[in-house]
Amino acid sequence: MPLEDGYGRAVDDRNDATWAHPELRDFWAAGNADVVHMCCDESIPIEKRRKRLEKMIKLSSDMLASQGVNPLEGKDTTDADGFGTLQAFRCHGCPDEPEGAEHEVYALIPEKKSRRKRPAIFFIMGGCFFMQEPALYPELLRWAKQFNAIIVTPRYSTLLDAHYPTQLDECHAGYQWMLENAEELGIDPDRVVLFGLSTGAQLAIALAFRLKRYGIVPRGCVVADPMVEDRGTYESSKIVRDAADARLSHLMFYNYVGPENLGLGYIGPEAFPNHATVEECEGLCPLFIHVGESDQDRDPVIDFAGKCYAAKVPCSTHVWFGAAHATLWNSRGTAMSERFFEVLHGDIRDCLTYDLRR
Amino acid sequence: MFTVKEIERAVVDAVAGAYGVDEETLTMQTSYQDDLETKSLKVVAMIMMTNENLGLEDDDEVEFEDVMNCQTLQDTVDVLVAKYGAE
Repeated sequence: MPLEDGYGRAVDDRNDATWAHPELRDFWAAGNADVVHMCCDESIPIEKRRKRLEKMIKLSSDMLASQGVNPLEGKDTTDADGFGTLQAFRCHGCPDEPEGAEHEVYALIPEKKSRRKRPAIFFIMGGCFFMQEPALYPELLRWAKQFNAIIVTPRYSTLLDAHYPTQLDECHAGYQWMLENAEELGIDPDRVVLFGLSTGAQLAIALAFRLKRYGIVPRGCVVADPMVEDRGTYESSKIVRDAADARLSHLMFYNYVGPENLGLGYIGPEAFPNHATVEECEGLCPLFIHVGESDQDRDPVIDFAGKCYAAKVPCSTHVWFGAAHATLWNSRGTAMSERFFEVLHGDIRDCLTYDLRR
Repeated sequence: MFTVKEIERAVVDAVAGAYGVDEETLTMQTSYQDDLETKSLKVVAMIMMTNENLGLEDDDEVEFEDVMNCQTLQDTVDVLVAKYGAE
């Protein structure tokens, strides 16, 4: 008998781990739901929420480090296994918001100098607009080494401190900082790939739309489990999974765009990529989109990809069987997760090796 | 200083909340690995809730390294009793 919500409508309950690929079952319940609920709980004083968030990030970093999957042991001056150093810089202001507050942008810079300019991977961290910590992403070092690339990753305001479009403005400011310092950083500005996971994926696609507005088209945008939609009207919006589902997205987006904008479609693709029309998608950079079969945004992602195809945007869409939101990277170390990261790696390689832009 | 019962109560409540299981199904012998069948970030929520339940703050809080080798709830209770003392 199907579960029903409070209004008697059927929901699609996927809490049971039998929905998962066998290698992902142990990770089916993992997610950032606790973080979102805590951070969005207005009955808790904001300073206390901020403190708890810092603690959660520290615990998560420590946990990953204990599993040996975290070669980046800090955030300011990190020795990356002899490859390079993750350095923190300051940037502020983008064309849309020149007076934007100063914030950090990190660059993983190889120790070994190169006469040739290196490509760059502009990585936007995810974590529900809350859990930002470069040390949570061991792929940064792996890919920096494999592509001999510079990794640049901006820190952006959490929802405790700011709302849309501040986060996108800060990512844009980080991108602009990278371009302005490309010579010094040894970056080839024509070989930059955007990359993001979850809300970082949402911001990466949003940044692709923003950059297009300024005549900048990166070599590609590789994203996994992007949040592309705030209107819960899709079949996949009915998926109920306590770790991450449309209910959690709703709570998060309430804080991101505010109740006056939520679910109405008035704001454009720089907030929610699937708000784009086909015409607005025209001229976007090549997109490589990955989403789990049980992700609440599965159908909006497919819808968005359809608009990209109609707009003749080079686009690859991969729906992963037995995966839900964030399970493919929360399960690092499993064969399935390795396969997932290998495919992402291949997408980035294609973008850096070939110019796929139309 | 807590009592052992208070620590047990805090741990059971935190595990039930973090792992999304009924308290009634938990015993001190419950194994994180074998019985709760979930990994990854749940331990973070469990630590956060334990800190909350015991009213611990700042330098007094439970850290990941305190509980990283715990196999069962009893191990966790033993670690906390050793760290905070108990009557």
